[in-house]
Amino acid sequence: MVERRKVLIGAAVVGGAAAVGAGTGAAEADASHDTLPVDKVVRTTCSPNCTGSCGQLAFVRDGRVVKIQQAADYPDKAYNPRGCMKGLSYLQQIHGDDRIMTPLIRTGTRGSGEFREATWDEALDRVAAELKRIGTTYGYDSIHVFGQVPGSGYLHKGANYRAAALLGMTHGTSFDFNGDLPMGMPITFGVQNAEHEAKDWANTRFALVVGANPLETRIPDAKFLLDAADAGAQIVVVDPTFSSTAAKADTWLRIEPGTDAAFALGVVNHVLASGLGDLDFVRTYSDAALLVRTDTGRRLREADLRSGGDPNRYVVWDAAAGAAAVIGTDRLGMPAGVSAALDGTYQIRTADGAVVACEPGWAAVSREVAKWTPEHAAEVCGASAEMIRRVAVAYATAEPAMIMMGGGTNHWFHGDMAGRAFALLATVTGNIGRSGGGFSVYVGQYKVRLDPSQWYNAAGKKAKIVPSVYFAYGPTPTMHPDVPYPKAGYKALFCTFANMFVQSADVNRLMRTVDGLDLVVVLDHQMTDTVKHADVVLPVASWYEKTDLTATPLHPFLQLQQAAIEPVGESRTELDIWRELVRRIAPEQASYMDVSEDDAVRLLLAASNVAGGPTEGITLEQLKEGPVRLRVPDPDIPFGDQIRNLTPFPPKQFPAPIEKLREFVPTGRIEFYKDDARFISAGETVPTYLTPHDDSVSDPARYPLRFLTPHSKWRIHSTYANNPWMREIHGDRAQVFMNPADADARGIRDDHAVEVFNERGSFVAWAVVDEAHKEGSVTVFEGWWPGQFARGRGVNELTSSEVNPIHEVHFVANMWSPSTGWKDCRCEVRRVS
Amino acid sequence: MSAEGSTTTTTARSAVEALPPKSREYGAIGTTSDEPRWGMAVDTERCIGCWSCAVICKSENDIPLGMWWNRILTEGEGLDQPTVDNGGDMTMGWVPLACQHCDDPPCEKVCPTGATYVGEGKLVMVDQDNCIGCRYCMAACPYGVRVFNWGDAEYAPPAGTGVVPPRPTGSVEKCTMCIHRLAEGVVPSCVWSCPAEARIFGDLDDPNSDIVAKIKARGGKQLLEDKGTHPKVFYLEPRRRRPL
Repeated sequence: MVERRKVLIGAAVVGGAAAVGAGTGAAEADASHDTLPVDKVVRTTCSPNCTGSCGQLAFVRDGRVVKIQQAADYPDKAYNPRGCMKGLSYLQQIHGDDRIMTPLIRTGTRGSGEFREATWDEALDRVAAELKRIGTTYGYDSIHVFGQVPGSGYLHKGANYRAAALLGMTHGTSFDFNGDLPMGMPITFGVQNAEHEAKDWANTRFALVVGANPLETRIPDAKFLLDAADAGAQIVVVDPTFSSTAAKADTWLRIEPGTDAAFALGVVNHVLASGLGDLDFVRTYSDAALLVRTDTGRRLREADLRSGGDPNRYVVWDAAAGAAAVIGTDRLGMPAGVSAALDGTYQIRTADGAVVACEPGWAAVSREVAKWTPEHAAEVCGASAEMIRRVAVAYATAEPAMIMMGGGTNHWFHGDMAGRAFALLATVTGNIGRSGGGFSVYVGQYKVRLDPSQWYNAAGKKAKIVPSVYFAYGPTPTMHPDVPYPKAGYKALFCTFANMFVQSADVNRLMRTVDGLDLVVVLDHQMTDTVKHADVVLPVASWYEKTDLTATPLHPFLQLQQAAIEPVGESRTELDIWRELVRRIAPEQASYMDVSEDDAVRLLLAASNVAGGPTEGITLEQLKEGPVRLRVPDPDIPFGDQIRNLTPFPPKQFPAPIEKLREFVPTGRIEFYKDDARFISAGETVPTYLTPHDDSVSDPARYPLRFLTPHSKWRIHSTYANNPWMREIHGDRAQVFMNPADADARGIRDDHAVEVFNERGSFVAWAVVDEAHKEGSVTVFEGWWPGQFARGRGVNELTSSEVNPIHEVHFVANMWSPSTGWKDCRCEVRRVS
Repeated sequence: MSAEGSTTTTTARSAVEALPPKSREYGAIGTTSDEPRWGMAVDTERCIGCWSCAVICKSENDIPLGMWWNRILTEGEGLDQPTVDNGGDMTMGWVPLACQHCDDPPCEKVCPTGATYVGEGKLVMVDQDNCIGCRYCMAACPYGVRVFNWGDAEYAPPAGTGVVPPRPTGSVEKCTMCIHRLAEGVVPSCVWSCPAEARIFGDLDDPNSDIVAKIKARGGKQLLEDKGTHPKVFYLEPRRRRPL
């Protein structure tokens, strides 16, 4: 023990320490204070795909991270401390058994997991030669670069984009591929997404939480809901599952999976029927008053009224004048003196002399809403009509009231409809653009907080973006013509920091694509099953081993990741790897990659460092001192400018040009009536409820159970599945949660091995019989590694990759593009021995 | 400060000394009396069952695999599984559990060597070098919060974690209320790292402390009060629900 103590620090030597207080064990006190010294403490950020990027301190001894703890230094103290048990345990992956230490080259058949160690020179030469061969033979666009969540590392994930731009490779997408793009948002508001910053939850008086489980999946933010409750707000959770969040709610409503839109429409119905709707708000900010031609379903334009009229100006019925009035798209509200009707049918003479019956778009919306009486909504969604009415009254009379929508509601083929229906509820009650209110969809990491063009683009070139759904499953007949899908198809995949071959929908279908590729390169730091399927594996530095820049959707802070330790083993950063590859493939472009990490951060800050820009005045040196709040309003809530100043929708969002977003909502208003041809032909012009898509693909008789794969509390997708402490807490075997009624009907008890299957695939795992999960559904939290199942590649053997053609009406990657419907899936379960 | 900025410190010293100033300020205990009686209140309404407190405890104190000084019990059956009443209604709640640092600790009374003692701040401590591994204390503790180092401890990563030296094989260990941190004026790691701010640390003898005020206002309860152990850990009851 004497020897052990030599390396210790006794508290007695620490100057200025507070007294611990005298006690009876004074003689032993020194030993109880013993600690091991640290060499340094580095302020950095966590960075998995959770949208958190929590500020952390890395405690380093002998070149190893020995402790990670929240930095708790956000300038806005409400956010302290940000960080969860997973982030605190990450040192186990940094220095864990699954860490990839050297480049690897495949020796067995693809997927066998048989590799030999290689030098960097050999691995880089080989990858460069193959990429060059494929690029010159088929075109560089036939190389798909896939990465996840740029916001969790603008610098190194940005290096992927920069290299793709230089070489002409196509870069994939994640927000849409992950199913997190809430298509109801671009359809309705013209934005990719737009949510209130997390601390604003505390300002609400009523929180309607639908298909979201922040207590398990947004652990550092969950306290703001608790703060709201503590201050007297009512919390209502709508979810098929009795989740941790439901356990903290004042009221939990169990609904049928996939029927959230019906629930929302029932609530809207009762709000309007009770006279609690704010129709002036609707008239001012939405397209409600704009006339729609009943003959074509298209909006009436000025060009319809007279030749030479503007096709981008719209028409309302001025009830005061008893005449049509043309309105522009440069300002919300109505022109002075115009009293725009929201109902009625009006005979309008068009330029060609015909008389066309027209009605305000709101008439069509109201007609649909009128069908959704609380009783009808109750029949579909399973909540009682009485509770739907109570929610309607409580939500509409609380000032302010918020809606939090999560993946449970969004991850459906028709998730856009649920989003449109809840957006309607928030709008008819005037809850848009106000603190403590709003309609926020919290799923996925998407928001590009600054203009990254100076780093992402190079040599005047910009990476072509192809939604990864088209890489994975091929183009669809309805794919938008602007998608730069490669003429020769795909020949290579360069997968970076993503467990794509486990975590993609309908993974067996994806693997058939992968089998046909000439080259699969995977960059990662953990030996995942995706890595095992690579031809060449390049070990990459974790986020405690490099400099990067992070920003998150729910927290308007810019933060610097700072290297706490040297890259473990022989791993390198993405920037280093691309620098070497570009030098080998295109030496004339090499200088563009020859940028230091610090200079790359400066380039990232540069373009938005303009008057009124989000990074105005923010420097690298400031970021080294800690998190800096972006130059955004406080609290950071969307649409404030639209509501206060009548500025048209949509607001600017990076990185797409505003002109592209304006195409989503050409009226410049919140759009509840969509008049694009595909919406009309699909019968989806107004918010409604559509039955889950898989009911028409799968056979409900053969596969009677809904298959739900929510995010786990214990993992960030598949990250942390191999973490020893997390495994000690919740086990190391994939669990199949079933309601007792469904389990009894199949003779299934706790711990039975069960096969979960449908026409796309199957796996075997272990049953947990639990009332928390709704009868008629089976839940397996996604992200287990294949080795944690008794058989199979995991939950995504079953999930569906069907593309909703509505998501292809426009194309801006990650903003209006196909969003995966993970939960729109049926299955059956049987006991196996 | 180094050229890397004041958020990075680079001199070998204690983990608390090495904290960047803003972080240290976050966890500062503030002024204390000469003879504090340290205690903790756990707000079970704010506890979200995330185990952050348990994990940082494990990391801070280099606790081997298979052992927890602090763990989170789910009320009812399994981990994160609700209790279902006869009417089918479900409830779920969590109770974080570690050494209760009793004012009348049964573990101390049965320790044959005096290895378990009431030390500074009235905290129940174990002198690991005097512990002979008889485990009477484990039998005497009604809370089941002590753990025993049976054999060669396993760590992940193998080099261990944290800033507290590992305990010898064959000794009993448990929560120290991070006395090594208290000595340097910062709160225990579980208090620091609770993302829901469910833990309140303070001096139970200081009538003006936040912890005393909260225990009074929220009717803080001690576990197994009938055992006469007088724990210094209090649990604040969940709020009343306001159903629609």
